[in-house]
Amino acid sequence: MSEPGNMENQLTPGELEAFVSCFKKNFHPLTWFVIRAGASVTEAPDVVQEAMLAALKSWATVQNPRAFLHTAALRILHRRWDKAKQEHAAHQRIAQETSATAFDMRLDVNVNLDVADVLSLLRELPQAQREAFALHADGFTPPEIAEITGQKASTARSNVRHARQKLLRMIEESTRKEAGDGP
Amino acid sequence: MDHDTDHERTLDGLLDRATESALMSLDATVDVEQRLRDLFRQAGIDPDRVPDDDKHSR
Repeated sequence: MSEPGNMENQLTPGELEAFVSCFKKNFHPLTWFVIRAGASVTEAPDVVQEAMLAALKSWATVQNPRAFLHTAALRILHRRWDKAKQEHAAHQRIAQETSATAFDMRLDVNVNLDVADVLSLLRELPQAQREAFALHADGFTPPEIAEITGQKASTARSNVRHARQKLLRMIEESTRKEAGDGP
Repeated sequence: MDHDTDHERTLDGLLDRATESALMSLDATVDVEQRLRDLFRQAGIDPDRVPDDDKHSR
């Protein structure tokens, strides 16, 4: 008889192989998604790990692994934030560590300036727009975004549109400011 | 000159470059194989069942 939490005999070799492939293919992209949604660089892999465990436990019935993982990751992230709020451990939704310096400095620091710029822009968006835009960037359609976030399709569509408009406005302001800061 | 199109291209280019940078950085800092073994242990699955790869699959 299998022990509680022991999944050794619950998945076929084929199912296990498929899960391993999904894990390796999606771990880093999902981690980047979670960071864009507002997680710190240090907590993001742990959030993804939890989402992967949830996927593994339901693997036999998961129809769309990517959608399942994104849904699970967002729920886990929100649960962590709610818990942190309750414990008075954090007051800010956006972690302080979402900066270029949080990434590996062995890499060319210029490589990470784009990351810092993107995270800085996304930080200005309301949470719902940030998540919708991150999902949109990961290739999900508005109906899929609606299903993942629990919103109406029209709300999801609106969040993506408004997020993009706001990001474009920020880039425009930045460009205008740089042009104005001439000699 | 279509500024809107330029800004759209700027935003899309920035997003693409940031994604590439972030994934490179994560490749260098997060050991996916170890994470998978840890997950298997947590789920009560023999970690030795994780197949060895030379490179991470994408």
